[in-house]
Amino acid sequence: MQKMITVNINNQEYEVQEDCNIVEACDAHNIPLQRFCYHRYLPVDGSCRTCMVEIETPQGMMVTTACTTKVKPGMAIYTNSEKAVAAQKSALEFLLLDHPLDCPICDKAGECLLQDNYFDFGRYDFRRTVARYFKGGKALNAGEHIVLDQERCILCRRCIRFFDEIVRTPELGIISRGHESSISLFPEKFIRNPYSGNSADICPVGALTLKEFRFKQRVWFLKKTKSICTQCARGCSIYIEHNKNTVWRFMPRENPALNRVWMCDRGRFSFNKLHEKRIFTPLKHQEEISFNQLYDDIAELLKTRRSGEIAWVVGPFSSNETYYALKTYCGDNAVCLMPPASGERDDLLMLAEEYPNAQGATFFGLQTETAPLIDKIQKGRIAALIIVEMDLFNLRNDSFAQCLMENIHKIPLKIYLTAYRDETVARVDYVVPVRTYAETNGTFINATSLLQKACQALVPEHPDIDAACIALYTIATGARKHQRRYSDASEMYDKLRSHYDELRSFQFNQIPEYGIALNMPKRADEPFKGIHVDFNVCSTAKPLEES
Amino acid sequence: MVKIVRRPHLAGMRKLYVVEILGGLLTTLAHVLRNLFFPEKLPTVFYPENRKAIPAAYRGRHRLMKREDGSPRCTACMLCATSCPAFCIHIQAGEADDPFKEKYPVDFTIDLLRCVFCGLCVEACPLDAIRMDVPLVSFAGYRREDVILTKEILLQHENADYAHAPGYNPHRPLSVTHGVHYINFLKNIK
Amino acid sequence: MDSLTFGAINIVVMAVVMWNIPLQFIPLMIWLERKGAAIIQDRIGPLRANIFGIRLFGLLHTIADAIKLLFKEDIIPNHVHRLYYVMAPFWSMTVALVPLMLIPIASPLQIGAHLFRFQVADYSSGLVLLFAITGLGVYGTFFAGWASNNKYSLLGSLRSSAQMISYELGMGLAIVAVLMAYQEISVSSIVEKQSGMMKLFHWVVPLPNWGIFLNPVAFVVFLVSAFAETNRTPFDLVEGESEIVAGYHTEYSSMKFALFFMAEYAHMVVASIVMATLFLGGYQIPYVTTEQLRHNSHYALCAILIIIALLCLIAGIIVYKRAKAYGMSFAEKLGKKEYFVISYLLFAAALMSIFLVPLVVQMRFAALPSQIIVAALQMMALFGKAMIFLWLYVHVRWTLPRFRYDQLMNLGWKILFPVSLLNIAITGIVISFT
Repeated sequence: MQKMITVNINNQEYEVQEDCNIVEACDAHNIPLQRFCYHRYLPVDGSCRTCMVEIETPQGMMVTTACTTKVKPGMAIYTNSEKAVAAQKSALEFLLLDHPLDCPICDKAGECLLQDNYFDFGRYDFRRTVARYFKGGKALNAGEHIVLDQERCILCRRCIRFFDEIVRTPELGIISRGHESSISLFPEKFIRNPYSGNSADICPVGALTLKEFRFKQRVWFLKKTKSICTQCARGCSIYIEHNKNTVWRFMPRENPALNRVWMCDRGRFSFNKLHEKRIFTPLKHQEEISFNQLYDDIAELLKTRRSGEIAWVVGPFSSNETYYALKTYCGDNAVCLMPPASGERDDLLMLAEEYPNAQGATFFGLQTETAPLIDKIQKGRIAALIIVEMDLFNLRNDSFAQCLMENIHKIPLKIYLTAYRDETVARVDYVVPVRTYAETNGTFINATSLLQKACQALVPEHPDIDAACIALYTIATGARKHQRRYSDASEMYDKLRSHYDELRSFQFNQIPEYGIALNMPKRADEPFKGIHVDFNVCSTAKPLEES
Repeated sequence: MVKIVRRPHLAGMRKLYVVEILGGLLTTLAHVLRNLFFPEKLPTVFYPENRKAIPAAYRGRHRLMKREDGSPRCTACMLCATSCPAFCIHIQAGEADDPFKEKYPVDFTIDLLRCVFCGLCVEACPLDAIRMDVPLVSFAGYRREDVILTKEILLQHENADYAHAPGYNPHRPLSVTHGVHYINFLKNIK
Repeated sequence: MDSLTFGAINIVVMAVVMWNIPLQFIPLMIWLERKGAAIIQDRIGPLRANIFGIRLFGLLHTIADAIKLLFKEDIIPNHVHRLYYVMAPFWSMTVALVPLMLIPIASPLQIGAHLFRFQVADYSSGLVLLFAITGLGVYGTFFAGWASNNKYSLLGSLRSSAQMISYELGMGLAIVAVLMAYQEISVSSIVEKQSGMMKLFHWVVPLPNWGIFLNPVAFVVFLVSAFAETNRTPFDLVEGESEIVAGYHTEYSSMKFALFFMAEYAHMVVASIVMATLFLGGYQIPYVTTEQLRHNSHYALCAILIIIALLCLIAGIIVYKRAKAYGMSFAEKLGKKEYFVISYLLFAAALMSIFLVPLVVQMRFAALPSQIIVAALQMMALFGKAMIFLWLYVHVRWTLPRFRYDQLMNLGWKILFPVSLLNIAITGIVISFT
C-alpha cells in the first residue's frame, strides 16, 4: 500500500497517492484536465503541452505540465486559474491550427480527444490569418491493419512510445522541424508488429485508423458490452462493440491485472469469426429440422441408453457453465480434450494455447485422460457420442481424433453442439445449433487463473437457439422447453457458484469487472513478463473510460 | 400565471341567443350571396390542372446535392442518420479513390414511409449535401419500393415530375432555402 | 266510373306521387347541403364527377355516391341483435315517408262529377295522425343504437330518444295553439282556412291569413322543435362525431347506412312541407283565393311563366359567372363548353317565357285546364315555401355550432315548454274575445 499525502487542488484538500503525477491526482478526484500525449500505461512525454496547471513553488507561481510533475505533500495546484486556462487554451489552439476539419469523414469522430477537449476547454472564435499548412499524406497505407493520415496527427507521440517501449519494434517517428514536423514511417518500414491495432486505439485523433473498421460504423452508434477475448488462453478483457446485432470491432478493456489497455491483433481482428459460417437451424443427417423435432428425437434416442453408453466430449472452448452442466447432468463419460498448443506466443500477451478455457476444465475437474474412452470406443461399447463446441474432426494430430476417425462406424449416434458450420458438422447425425459466446452470458478462467465474465452482446438469429450449457442440460435430462430450470446461462452460473467457496459471494452480475483471481495453479506466466508497462499507475486510479 | 376567464353573464332576451343566431345567419348569408354571384372571388385553385408556385422555403422531399463533377457532395458522415428521429436514413460508407475525398456513400437510402419531414437531417449536414426542397406536394406510391428513395433517385434533380415546376431551380443558392442568417453563419466559420 | 273506383285511382296515383316527392328531394338536398356548405365556407364544392366531361354542377356526385353505397359490402357485425339491426334503417325510412300522405299539395280538381284530391287521405283528424306517425321516428334511431351493441351507438340513441321526447312536447303544445287558432283538425281544412286576408277583431289586416301571422310564437317553437326532431344541427347530438364517433349508425355500412342518411333528409323534406302547410298557408297563394285564381287562370299561367323566367335568369347568371370565373381549366372533352351552353340555354328559356307572356294573357281557358294551371301554380307555391325551410336547414347547419346536452335540455324544458303553454293561454284569451 502506497503512502497517501494531502495536496491542495483548486483551493481544496485532496488525499492522493505519493509519487503519482498531477494528472492522475486530478483523475482520481474527477477534476477535469485535458491531455493528449499523457497515457496511464505509457511513459510520460510532455509533448502536447495541453495539461498546463499553475503550481506554487518557492520561486512563486509557475505554469507547468501536469503530467511531468509529481505531487508533493502540501502542494498547491490550480487547474482553473487564469494563467493555467490561458496556457491550456493556447496549446489547444495551436494543436487545432493545422488540424484538418474533416471530422465528418474521420473515423475517430465521437471518441476523439481533440473533439472532446475542444468542447470542454477550447476557444470558439477563430483567429487564423494565414493560410493553413498542409502536411500532406492522407490515407497512407502504413501497415497491415493501419492507415496513416499525417495531416490529422497532433504529434503527441503516443504511438511512437508504444512501439518503442512496449512492443519494441520502432516503426514510426517524427520527421522535420517546427510546424512542418509530421509523423512518418521509418524508411522501408511497415507496421507489421502483432500489436499494431493498439496504436489506433491510443491515437487521440484520427491519424491512425484501422483498415478493418474504417468507414464501417460511426462510433456513437456502437454499443459496448463487457466481454473477453477467446482467441488464446490469456483471455484479455475486451469490449464487444456492436450495432444492429453485428459486431463491428473488439476494443481492449482496461484491466490493470491482466492486459492493461492492450490486446493483440490476433484477438482484435477475430470479431468477423462471430458472423462467419454460422449455423442457425438444427440438422438431422444434414437435413434441416425444427428445434422441437430435434429435442424430441434426441430425447427419444437417448432414453433407451444407459449413461455408461453415452460419451461426452468437450474442448477447452466452452464456458464454465457448460463444464458445470457436463459435470452435473451428463455422468462420468465426459472428457475434455486439450488440442495441442500450436499458436504464436510472446512475452507480452499472446499465448500458444489458442483456446480460452483450459483452466475452467481443470477447475471443474473434468477428465482429460482419453485412453479409457478410446478403449471403450474401440470395443464398440459407446452407443452415443455427444461433441460439445469443438471441431473434433479437424484435429489432425490428436490421438483421440485419430481413433475416432478410424472407429466412427462403431458409434451409432453422434450429436454435435456447435455454433459454426465446420468440418465435424458433415460427419455427425444431429447438429444442435448453440449460441456463440457473444450471444450468451458466460464465465471463463484464463491461463493465469482469473475468472472473468463475458456478457451477452448479440441476440441470436433464432429465439430457440440456446446457450451450449442449456442445450446440454436439455439433452442430458430430456427436459421439455417449459420444464427447463434455466432460461439464461447466467442462472446456470448462479447455480454453480454455491458449490465453490471462491465464487459463492459473487452473483453473475456482481462479478468484478477485473475478474476474480482463483487460487489454483497457473498454466502460463503473468503478462508482460520483464516489461515495464505500469508507468503511471497509482492505487487511487479510476478506470480510464470514466475519466 | 393562471388567468381565469369568467363565463359572460347573459340575462333576459340575450339568453335566448336570438340576436346572435340571426347575426350569424346574416354573416353566412352574406357569404352565400357574394360567392353565388361573384365566384371569381373564391380563393380555390383547381389543383392538378392549375398549380401555384411552390415557395422556395418549402420543405418537401429530400435530394442529394452534387459536386461540380457530378459525384454526390455527401461524405457519408452519418450526421443526418444520427440526427434523424425516425431512423429513416440508411447510409453505407465506402472508401473513395481520391484520398482528399476519402469517404463516399456507397448506398444512401431514405425510407419516406418512416420519415417525419422534420428537416433535422438538413440542419445536421455540414456540407449542404442534403436538401429538402423538391417541389413535389404529392409523392404517394402504390408499393413500398415507390416511396423508398435510393441514391440514384436522390441525385436526380431533373425528374420530369417537377423539373418544370414554376420557380424551381435545382441549382439555387443556399440562401434561398436556408435564409440569409445561415449564409452569414457559414461565412463566419470559414 | 263510379266514385269508389275514382277514389281508389285517386289514392293510388297520389300515393305514388307523394311517396316519390321526398325520394326525389333527397339527392337534391344532398347536393344542396354540400354546395351550401361549400359556398358558405368560401369553397367551390363537389364538382369533379363527370360523364363524358359533363358535370352538372356536381349533381353527378350524388349518383356516384349512390352507386358506391350500393356496391359496398353490407356488413352485419357479429355482436349485433340481427332483427332490430336490420329493421332499424327500414323503420326510419318508412316512418319518414308516411306523413306526407296526409298533406294536400294543391286544391282538389273537379273532374266531371268527381273530385280529384291532391292528397292521399283526407283524414278528418289528420293532424293528430301526422304527429302520431312522426313520433314513431325515434324508434328507428333507438333500434339502431340498441341493436348495434356498441356504447357509442347506445349513447347516441339514448340522447336521441331523450331529445325527441323532450321536443315533441314543445312541438305538440305549439300545434295545440295553432289548432285553436284555426279551430280545425283536418289538414285540408287548415289549408283552406289560410286563404284570403287575415282578420283580427273584425278588422282586416293587410297580411295573408297564415299561421305564421296568426300565431308567430307557435311558429318559432315549432321551427326550433322541428330542427330537434330531425336531429339537425344545432341539435345533432345524436351523431356528434366529435363525441360519440357517429352515434347510432356507427355500425352500419353500405345501403343500410344510406337509408339512415336518406331518412334524415326525408324527415327534413316532410318537416318543411308540414311547416309550410301549417304556417305558410300550404299551397295557398297570398292575397288571392283559389276561386279568384280559377276565374283568371290566364294570369296564373302568366305568373308561372314569369316565375320560370326569373328563376332561369338568375340561374343563367350564376352559371355564366362560374363559366367565366373557372376558365374551365379543369374540364375536358364536352365539359369545356358545358357551363357556357347551359347558361345560354337558361337565358334562352327565360327569354322564351317572357315572349310567351303577351300571348298567354290574351288566352282564355276552359274549366278543367284552368284548374290544372292553378293546381300547378299552387304546387309551385307549396314547394317554394318548403324550399325556404329546406334552405334554412342547410343555412343553420353551417352557421351554428352544436348545443351542449344541458343546453339542449334547458331549451326544451325550461323555455320552449313554458312558452308554448303560455302561448296556448294567450291564444285562448284572444280567441274568446273574437
